[in-house]
Amino acid sequence: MPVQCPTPEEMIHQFIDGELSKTCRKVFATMLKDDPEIKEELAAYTRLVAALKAFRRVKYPPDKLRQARTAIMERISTAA
Amino acid sequence: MSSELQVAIGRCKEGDQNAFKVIIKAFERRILAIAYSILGNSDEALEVMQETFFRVYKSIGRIKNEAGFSRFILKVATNYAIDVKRRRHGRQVSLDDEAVLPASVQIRLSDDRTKPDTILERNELWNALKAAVASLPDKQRTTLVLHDIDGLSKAEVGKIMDCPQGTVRSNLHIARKKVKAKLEEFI
Repeated sequence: MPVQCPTPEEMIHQFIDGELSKTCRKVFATMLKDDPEIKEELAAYTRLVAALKAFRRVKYPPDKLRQARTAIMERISTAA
Repeated sequence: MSSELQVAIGRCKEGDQNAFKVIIKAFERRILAIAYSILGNSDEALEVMQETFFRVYKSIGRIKNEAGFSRFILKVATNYAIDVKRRRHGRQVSLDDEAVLPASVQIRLSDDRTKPDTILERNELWNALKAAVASLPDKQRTTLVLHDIDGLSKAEVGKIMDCPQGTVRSNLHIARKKVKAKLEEFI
């Protein structure tokens, strides 16, 4: 039976997310070897997904963060 | 969920307000990251954080399934951040604000190692990345934020957004494609 794998673009996303089936991983590996464009696309998406993690590292002004925490505790004590 | 968090939830249910500080500490960074990714503005992200914790506190007595607590808190934060964005009614909000990306955080989209990685270039890329995420339609942006930024699984994102995993997958792939297209000049 022929192997049914998603489109190359779909395989790029599934590969990044660790969801590509074992059979399709083999097909994808051959594609990466044979097609530099797919290899480039995979690298670009991988870097993009990594770059998005920067949102987790944003720093807030400490005084504003403190004020926000204090405001939460004040609100819950008033609401109680 | 950590046992410390479980204990804190239990104590909050019994009326111990100080125990809520443990819940704030556990979720503060994740809520701010989600809100900031959706809104691109730190004042609004801090507003989302305050309102989320207040709403969660008010509902804490009704929480029966403590395993679903994380999902509940992230759902409140996500929905409120989207509400804030909708309330802008087209009003432009600056993406350049007081929240900063520490200099130690590397962001690179190009594999051209010969290109100078100057501070100016990094800031330009960071602003373009924020703008690209902000330009996505709500469902695509929320999916990208919860999956690629917060790191939730597709199943968890589906539960938060009340949609099947197939929808999460397709929204995620479209969102990534659009963001990548907007950042083409940096790749």
